[in-house]
Amino acid sequence: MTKIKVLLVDDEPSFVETMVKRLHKRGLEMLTAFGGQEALALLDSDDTIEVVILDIRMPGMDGMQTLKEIKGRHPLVEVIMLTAHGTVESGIEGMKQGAFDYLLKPCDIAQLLDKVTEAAAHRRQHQERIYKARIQTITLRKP
Amino acid sequence: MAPKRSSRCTVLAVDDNLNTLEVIKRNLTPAGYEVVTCAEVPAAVRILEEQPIDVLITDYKMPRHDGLELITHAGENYPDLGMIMVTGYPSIDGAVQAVKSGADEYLAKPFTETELLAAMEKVTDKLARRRQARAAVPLPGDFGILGCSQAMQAVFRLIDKAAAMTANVLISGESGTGKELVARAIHYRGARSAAPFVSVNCTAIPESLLESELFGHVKGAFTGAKEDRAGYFQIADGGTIFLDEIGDASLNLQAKLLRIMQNKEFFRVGSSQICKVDTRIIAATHKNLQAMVEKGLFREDLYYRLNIIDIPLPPLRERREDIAILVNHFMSEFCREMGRPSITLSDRALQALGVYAWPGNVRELENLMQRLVVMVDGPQVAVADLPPAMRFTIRSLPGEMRTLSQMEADHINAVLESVGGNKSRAAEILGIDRKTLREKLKKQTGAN
Ligand SMILES: Nc1ncnc2c1ncn2[C@@H]1O[C@H](COP(=O)(O)OP(=O)(O)OP(=O)(O)O)[C@@H](O)[C@H]1O
Repeated sequence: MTKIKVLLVDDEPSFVETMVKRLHKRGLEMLTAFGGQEALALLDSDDTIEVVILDIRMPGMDGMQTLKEIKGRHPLVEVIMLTAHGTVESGIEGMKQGAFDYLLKPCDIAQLLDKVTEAAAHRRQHQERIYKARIQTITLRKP
Repeated sequence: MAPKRSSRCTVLAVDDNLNTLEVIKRNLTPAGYEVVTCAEVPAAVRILEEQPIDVLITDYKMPRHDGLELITHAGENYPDLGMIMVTGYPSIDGAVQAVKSGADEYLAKPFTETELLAAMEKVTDKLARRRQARAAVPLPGDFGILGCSQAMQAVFRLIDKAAAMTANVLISGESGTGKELVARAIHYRGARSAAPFVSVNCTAIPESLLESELFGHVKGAFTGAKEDRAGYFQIADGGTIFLDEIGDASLNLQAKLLRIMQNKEFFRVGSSQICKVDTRIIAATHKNLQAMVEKGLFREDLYYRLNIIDIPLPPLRERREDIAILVNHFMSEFCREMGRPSITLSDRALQALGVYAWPGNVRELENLMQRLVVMVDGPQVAVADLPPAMRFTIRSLPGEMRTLSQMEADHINAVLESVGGNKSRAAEILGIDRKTLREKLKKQTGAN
């Protein structure tokens, strides 16, 4: 199994630094961005990123907007929203925009790791399914 | 068959608190909604099975089964249903779970009439958009058959001719060329369109069952025949039966088909009483029936009775002009289905599709487009996104003699595109260094 490639997007350098260290230690391949634009640029140039962990409150392009852009341009990338300022409304909004899950800061590292693994498995399964479905119909139908 | 949906919007409200049900009913009925209520999940599941429901409103916490289970069940089984989760204990986690399971809206108790109506409006708007998107897919009139080639124009003329008559039709063509689509077009264009169109794939039903499936049986005709059953010919009485893969019918079945064609009569399995039907037969095959007749594998008399109107469907590789419109059509259809902005194919990718052999014909093309729409993240499909079998067909573009330097340039561009423009990787594949590649590219732009 290849390492799960994760992009962490948060404007707080100290948080990013500790999270990257801890998640890296647990076997994830980590990339970082400090804002929405930077995150999108990275995703546009690297289609092997599987999961994005996204803060909601960021200066410039905020997390919700970033989420919308990501799902529009890269529908198979799974996004986990992570925020210190959660509300019922933003939770609903995030899920409706296609987030994989919505977690609150401070969050248990084991729980986050579980969610990332789940999200990556979801993405891989999805890809696999599409691939198989096609191979199957074509081989079944070959004259 | 699903019951016909009334134009009024029917709401199913589920809550163990009868007061809430009463409030929902009082608020929604004057606004023109029809409201059905029940107090627990199992009853709700039953109601969903029994009658058409447009919107489900369910409480979260209920004894034994909770609202989340209901939402999950309904979401999986009724894709056309709008869903609202109501809860007395709103929480971020609860809201997230509800939406994750498929709820469209999330409402905290106690809610006002305005809040409820606003949520309903959002859900019904969404439903209407979803249904509209679906309804827009089949193209009425031409029944979704696309094609600008001469060959397809000839097919369209034959469809019109066949629709105006009631003679039997034989459609021949490779798998995936659209034989069933043509059969449907003939039926729905013709005078029999109000009667059923029944499609039977002769190879999908085991030989031992085929006769009883087609002609029906009477109670006790064989073990397992617990009651009388009508066959497809009877179900399609007045309409059309489509017999796909007729070339695979056994000689025994062929004899029975001949009888029904000659006399419009047949026997049900286990009965000696003659039944009369008026069912038009449209048959299809990917085999060469004439050759089968010569070998004695297909009855000549049946062949001539079927072949009154003969519609040959050309394989896609013999009408390459149609590829581009089929690509566009399926691309935009799947993009809309997936709710993503439309994507295009790079010129080279389109060129690669244009020379590919398409053994699976239009079905293969349709499947590929569906896969590309899901797999390709960016706005454009490059050659690298195509399956390997299609990627390097460009080299064998027919009828074109190129100079060596032109071939080199084409190859360099193909490799570049296949690695998404990454020059270091392209140079590596080409076996030259980056500097040489840069020079070659410069020379190309100079030459153009
Ligand atoms: N000309 C066309 N325009 C649009 N869609 C088409 C066309 N031809 C075929 N299709 C699509 O391709 C798919 C296969 O068509 P269809 O099932 O009619 O083929 P078939 O020849 O009956 O195949 P088989 O013999 O394998 O059953 C369908 O999804 C159909 O909608």
